[in-house]
Amino acid sequence: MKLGRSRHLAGAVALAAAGLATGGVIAQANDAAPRAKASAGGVVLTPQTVEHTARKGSLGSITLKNTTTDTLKVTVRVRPWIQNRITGQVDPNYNVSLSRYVSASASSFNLGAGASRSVSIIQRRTPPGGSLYAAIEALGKPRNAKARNGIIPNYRIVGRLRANPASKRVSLRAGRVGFIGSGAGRQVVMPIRNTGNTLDPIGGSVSFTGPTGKTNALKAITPIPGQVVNLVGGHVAGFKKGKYTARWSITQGTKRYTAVRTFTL
Amino acid sequence: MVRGGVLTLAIVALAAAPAVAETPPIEGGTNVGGQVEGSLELILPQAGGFSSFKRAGTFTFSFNVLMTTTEKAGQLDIVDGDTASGSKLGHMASGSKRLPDPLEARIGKAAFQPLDESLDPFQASGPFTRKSVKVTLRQKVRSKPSGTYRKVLLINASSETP
Repeated sequence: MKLGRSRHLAGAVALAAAGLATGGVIAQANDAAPRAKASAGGVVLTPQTVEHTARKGSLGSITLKNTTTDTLKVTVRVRPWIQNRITGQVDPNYNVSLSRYVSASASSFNLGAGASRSVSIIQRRTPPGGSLYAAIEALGKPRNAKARNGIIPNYRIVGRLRANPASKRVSLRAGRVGFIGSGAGRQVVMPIRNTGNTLDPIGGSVSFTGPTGKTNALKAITPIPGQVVNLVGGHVAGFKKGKYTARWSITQGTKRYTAVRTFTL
Repeated sequence: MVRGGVLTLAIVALAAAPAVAETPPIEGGTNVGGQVEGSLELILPQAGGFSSFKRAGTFTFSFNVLMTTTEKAGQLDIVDGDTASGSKLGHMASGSKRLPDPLEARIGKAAFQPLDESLDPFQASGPFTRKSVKVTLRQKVRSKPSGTYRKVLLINASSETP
């Protein structure tokens, strides 16, 4: 009997642990706790990146797998990226579709429990500049979501599309020196616009001459073609007041540039 | 002419034969390896909390999201899945009614942020398999509301780099 009890207890503990590990729910409402079921599955996107030289026709395919116990209504869209000028991080612009240039072979379909489906990414027109870097948005909604109340979580998985140019054009435009942050966190920056058609990272170093001299390495950034991202030259909190000349030695792919800018602290 | 051609071919064949014999064994020159396709996985619970509120107060509701990425970084964030703008953005709604206070959310140990504004994403360096991230929702209720409420939330799993 003791053995049976301990087995039951062990089973219950194991089930509780499994529930928490597989998207378990903890409700701590002041009143009666909301009911919730734990799901043992989710949505898998493979591969995360579709990369091919830009050309009309298929650029590759993604596979979406539904490992939940519900049928999901899946929508696949290709969206442009919005890039954060300060951090360089990207987010899809969900208000804009790139269907003029690239679209999914099946943009909306039902995916049964345990089923998987391959979706081709098809280029319809040559994008401006000859390349296209975009987000592949896969949205999964449980089919019975409209009949449910309370919090209804839906899936949105974002992969990426890299339609690389057939002929590379590496180019950038440097802007005026500016500052971000304040106090001890104040940093000198130079905005860079990627005027080429590649995703080559931009890095290098910057040398400051003036009342205080310093050379800093530049943290590499990857601006999307057409986007502007700040190249961070480092902190200026300890710098003496006066006029400075900053010599930015920039590398992008195999190209090297020098930009000389002056600023006053 | 024909005899000469046959003789030349025979000489060439004899000269080529030792070259084939000298080819190193397969075991010595073969690199064993493979390429694994990257993948991104998101596992969500069938959460159902906050459908009704029996009295005024502040209610919290938590669930775990599991994420897998084969890349160097992964990002998770939450947005309103019902609407992208308007007065219902970020608010629990029951038909045309909505709760006056917006639903608040936090991912991991970050501070609560109202869902009628954009939430700071949760970032983690990868690769990782089924990393558990706790999502906590908070709803302030001023007076006992009637009816059942709902809100669709989009849980986004993505990468930071283009």
